[in-house]
This record gives sequence, structure tokens and C-alpha cells, in this order.
Amino acid sequence: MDATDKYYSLFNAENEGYCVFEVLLDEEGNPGDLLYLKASPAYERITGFGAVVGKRITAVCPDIKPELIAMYAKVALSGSPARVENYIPAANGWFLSYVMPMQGLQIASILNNITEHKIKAEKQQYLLKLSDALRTIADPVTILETACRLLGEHTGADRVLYGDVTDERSIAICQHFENNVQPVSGVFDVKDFGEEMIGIFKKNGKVIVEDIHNGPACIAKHHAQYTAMGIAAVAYMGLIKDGRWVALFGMNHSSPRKWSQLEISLMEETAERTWAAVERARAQEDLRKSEALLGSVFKILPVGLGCIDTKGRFLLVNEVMQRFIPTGLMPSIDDEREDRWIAYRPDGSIVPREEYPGIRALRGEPVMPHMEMIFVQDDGSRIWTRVASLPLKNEKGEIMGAVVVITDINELKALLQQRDEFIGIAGHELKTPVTSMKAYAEIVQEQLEEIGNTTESALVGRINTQIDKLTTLINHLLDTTRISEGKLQLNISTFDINELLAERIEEMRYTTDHRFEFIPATIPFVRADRERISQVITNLLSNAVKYSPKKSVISLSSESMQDEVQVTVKDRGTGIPSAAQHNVFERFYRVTDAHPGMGLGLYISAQIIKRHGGRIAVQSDVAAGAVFSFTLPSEK
Amino acid sequence: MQKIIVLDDNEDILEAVSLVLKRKPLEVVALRDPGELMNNIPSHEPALLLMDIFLGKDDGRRICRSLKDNPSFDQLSVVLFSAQTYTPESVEASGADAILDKPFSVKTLYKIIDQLAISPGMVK
Repeated sequence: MDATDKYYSLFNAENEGYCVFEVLLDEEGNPGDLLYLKASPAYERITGFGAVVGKRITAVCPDIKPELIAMYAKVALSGSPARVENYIPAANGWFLSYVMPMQGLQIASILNNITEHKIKAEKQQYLLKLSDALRTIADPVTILETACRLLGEHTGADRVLYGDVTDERSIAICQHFENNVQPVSGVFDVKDFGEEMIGIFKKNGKVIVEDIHNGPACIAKHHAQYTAMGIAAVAYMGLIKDGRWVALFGMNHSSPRKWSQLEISLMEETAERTWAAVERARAQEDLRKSEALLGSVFKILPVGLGCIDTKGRFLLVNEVMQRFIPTGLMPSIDDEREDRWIAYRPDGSIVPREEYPGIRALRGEPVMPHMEMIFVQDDGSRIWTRVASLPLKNEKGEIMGAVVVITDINELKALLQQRDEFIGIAGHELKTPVTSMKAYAEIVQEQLEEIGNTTESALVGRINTQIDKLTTLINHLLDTTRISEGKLQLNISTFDINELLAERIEEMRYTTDHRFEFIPATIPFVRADRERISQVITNLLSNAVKYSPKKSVISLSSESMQDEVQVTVKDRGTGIPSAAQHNVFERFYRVTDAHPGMGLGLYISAQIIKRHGGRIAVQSDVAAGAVFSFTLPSEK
Repeated sequence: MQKIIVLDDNEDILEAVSLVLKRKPLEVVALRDPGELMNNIPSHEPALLLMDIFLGKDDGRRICRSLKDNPSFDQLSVVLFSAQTYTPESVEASGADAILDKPFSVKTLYKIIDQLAISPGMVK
């Protein structure tokens, strides 16, 4: 083994090949070719050239550039080693060579295959550029155009295309990059690609063809179509997302072309990133559309609409809302505008600021459907509003803010007031003729009784009963208007409600054959308006009589609870369906049409009890009868 | 015979109430115009005045107050009646002896007059 062989053996590693060239000079003494003198097995393996010794490099690599030969020759002539990185098409790879001078025109070259490293670096550089370009684009079509153009420019492919698989039957080729070839934009039937190709795409596979004339059967079958389109080489891939074939991405070339490993890998990466960018852009576009829609709704709504953060600052308000919230702070935390809002409880007391809808929503309590509030305008005039609020929670259930809606109901209030005024006037007007009627009817009845005409006196007695019913109805109508105007006056005194109950039962006994059962408890006096409570008891008793069978038992009881006294009236009647129970206390509500007149009575009773700060409730099982109860504050 | 003055600006009420009262041994003076009241009280010396509260421009409560404040008439019993809404405080402030809501029962009217009229048991 001579010295040079020993030297070579140092480099006889698996992944590093070495070879020895002799520079061949042409007639003019210029370097024209390189002759292989020696080559290690690794050299032959990593280049894929096979046996090279004794061959000229131009024969082994027909594409070799003359500059490279010149560079090798320079090492031999100058005696200075060199390092060179270059792509060798014949080996389909990137190589790093260390070229060292030996004796005479001989040079040694140690060769490393750096294709993988090179691909990685180049890919990274390309992908960085791609990502930078796509990141700022909002329009999906522009994203596709840009991605296709960048891949086309980078690989030199004549055409790059992205097809949106919309419904598994058709592909919309949205945008493509073309380099002097025919455009192919449009909607295509997936069948045009052939069954086999579609099968491959659906399995996330690729179709890589150097020359369609020598390609696999799936593409060779269609060679005429490809040729007609000016396509000689293709590289296609299907993109699968969530198990569904969503897109086709690919490169075409007008002449046969060997697609490099790098190009295929770039196509894959570009396809993935393009799809992600398009999805992001579409999602953002959808978001923008829904925001625009929401914005229009926000703007067009005739109500004040706003969103507040957890500190009660308005983040978003529409124009109507600006009228109510000019400072951008919810009224309950806005000291300057504290006196601009007033709300009353049913008992007439003022609602404190901590109970305003905004602050309640931030505590997690929605104010639905609304709280009626008076808004004092800049000129000092007062308008009625309805304020509703809803807490906004994140997915963990934490409160992130609230939505507040303010409606100007001043016109509605004015109309309601007009209605109440009308009922008030009409009601009072009706009372005058009823007064005369009652006076005459009573006199007639008295006179008939005096002469012993019992049949006719009983008839007139019925007229009197009806006049009394008419009077009750008129009074109910007037009471409702008083309630809605907030003018229901209470004359508070302390009295024994047991005594009042007994009195009312006695009164009722004469008008019906129902049996009454009263279990009074030892209870404190109540603080209430005796007349109004008498009205409530009468109403509950007459309802019990109306809605339960003749001779059935109506039970009353009283009991003491903490600071209150509770009265209960139970009948054995038809009861109230549970669905109807919550609105029996509403104005003009009636359970059945069989018994007219119930609507106003319970509404008024409920309002009277609420004005006292008490509660009224109903419990009922259909067929078991109804149990009405109310509470009143007791004397301290 | 004891006299009662009835003052109401509504002709129908005046007529009906007069009829009711005349069934008892009472002399009824029916007046429609509040302006006539001051002349009629001294001339008739009634035992009781039954007066509507809302009398057009006048207010029965105000008239009652001025009567009660006048030493010449403060012995006169005054009963107010009304079809309109009033506050109990305003009636109390007027010094009226009783208040009757329209429509009312004839029996209630008799009972009030019975209680307030000078000679008990006079009306029955």
C-alpha cells in the first residue's frame, strides 16, 4: 500500500466517496475533461454512477457544466485546494466536494451527498417566504394565486394549480400560475381525472409522472387530453382534512420533467399551508360577514344596545344608546349621571343603584324581560324606558361583561296613560246613571215588599244584584287604572286580620250555600289598609265560590311567619292548570271563559298585596282545587 | 219637619236622591248650583247637607271646610258623596261628617242620615 492509498483509506467511509481525476487538456492546452483514475465504492454508490474508472466525466454526467471542469483543473494547475457545492443532475442530488491537488494533473475529490441538508435549507427558506406572503392576505382567491405563483417561480413548473373539491363530484380550479401554457381555470367534473386518480387522491396519495406517455396506466389512459392541454409532466396530490378529500394541488410542465424530491416536498408543504391560509381567510371572511350583519342589526335597531365590560364600561354602543349613555359608563357607577335614572319597586320605594340592570347582569343575574326606568333627559324632561340586561359568559361560565338594551317606551306609556284616563273618565261617568238606577230599583223593591208582592220584589232584587255586579266591575276597572298610574292609595293601620276574615266570611255566607271553615291562629296584628285587604279577601272568597261545586267546603286559615302573617284560602273546585298558574295575577288574564270577571279581581288583589310589600301565590292541582295565599307585614 | 239640602250638579242624581229622601219624613231642598247654597242654608236652616264633591268649578270639600270654619254653620252636618276618586286625607281635611261613594245603597244613606240627624230615630 503506497502513501496515497493510505491517505485515501482515511476517507473510505460509508457516506463519503473519493475519486481521483486526471485533468485532460485539449490541443490548445486548456482543460477540456476529467478522467476517472480511481473511485471508492462509496463514491460509486452515492452518485449512482456505477463503475467510472477509465471513463471521462462528460460521459458519466452529460450535463456537467464546463465551469466545474475548469474549477477542478484550476486546483491541479494552481496547487490550491477548493471546496464546491453543486447540483449534479445525473445523480439527482446536491454534492459537496473537497478538491485537492496531487502530483501533476491529478486531483483528488472527496464527495459528500448533501441533498437532504440542501433540501431542508432550501425548503425552509421557501416556506418562510410562502408563510410571510400568505399571512397578510385576507382574500382566499389572492391566497391561492400567491401560493401557486410562489411555487411556480420556485420550481420553474409551467403551471401550478389548486382545485377546491366542493362536493366530491366537481373540482373548482380556483387559481393557477401559468408560464406560457393554456389556463385551466373553471369547474371540472372529478370524473375527468379518471376513477383511479380520484381513488389515489382520496387516499391522500400522489400521482407523479415524468412523461405522460410513459406514465402509469391511470394517467397514460388520458394522455391525449393532457397533450391537448399542452401538458407533458404532472405532479398531483390530494389533500385530506377530517377524513374528507378537500383539495387537489399540483404542478404541470409542458415538457417531460423529472420532479425532484424537493419539489414534491415543496408541493406538499405549499398545499398544506395554502389550505390552512384559505381556511383561516374564509373563517375570517365569515366572521367579517357576521360582524357586518351584526353591525347592521346593531345600527338599525330602534333600541339602545350596548356591551359593557366587567367594570361597567361600555365597549360598544349603537347610536340610540349614545343618547342614554353619553359618558360610556353604566349609570350605576357613573356618579355624574346618578340622578338621571329612577326606578320604583311595586311598593313605591326607589330601586337602589346596586339593583340597576347593568350591575345585576355583572353579578350574573339577567334582568329579563326588563325593568321600567325613568330617564331624565338633558332638558330635565322625563321619559319612560325599559332596560334589560344579560350577562355575557365565557365557556368556563365566568362573567366577561353584559349586554344592555334600553327601549324608549315613552310613546307607549303616553298611550297607556291615555287608555287609563279614558277608562277613568268612562268609569266615573258610568257611576252616575248606576247611582240613579240603584236608587230607583231599591225603592221599587222596598215598595213591592211593603205591599207583599214577593215574586216581583225578588225579580227587582235580581236587578239590584246585577247593579251591584256592575258597580264592582266599574270599581275594578278604576282600580286597574289607579294601579297602572301608581295612584293606588293605602291607608295603613294595624288591625286583627282574624276579625276581618270572620267578618268577610259572615258576609259571604248569606250569598252562597258553600260551607266555610276557618282556623284562626294566634297571630299579631297586621300593618295594612283594612279596606283594601277586605277587598282582596272578598275577591279570593268569591273566586272560591265561583270555581268550586255548591255546598263544598272553603277553608281559610291564618298563621304567623317571622315578620309576616299568612292567610290561606282553599277551595275544592276545578283547580287551575299548572301552566296557567303563573299568569293568573296578570291584568285581563282569565283561566276559563266559563266564569267571567276573574281577570281584574286577581290582578287587583295581587297589586294590592305587592303594594303592601307582601306576596301572593297560588298552588293548585287540577281536580283537587286551588289554594291561594298572601302575606302581609305584621306589627312589630 | 227636618230639612235636608242636596247639592249635586247632575239633574238625574238630584232627582233620584230627592225621591229616596222624600220617602222619609224629611223636607228636601234640591240645589244644582253651588252659588245658591249660601242663601239657602240660612233660609232653610237644614239639619244636614248632602253634597257632591266634584261640582264643576267648585269642590264640595272646599265648601264643607268653609262651612265648618264658619261659626254660624259649624253645627250643620255635612255628608259628601262622589263618583270620583278622592284621597281619604282630603275628606278628613274638609271636616265632613261622612263620605258616601256613588253608587250607594239606599239603606246606607238612611243609616248615615239617621246617625247624623239631630233627632235620633227620626228617619226609619
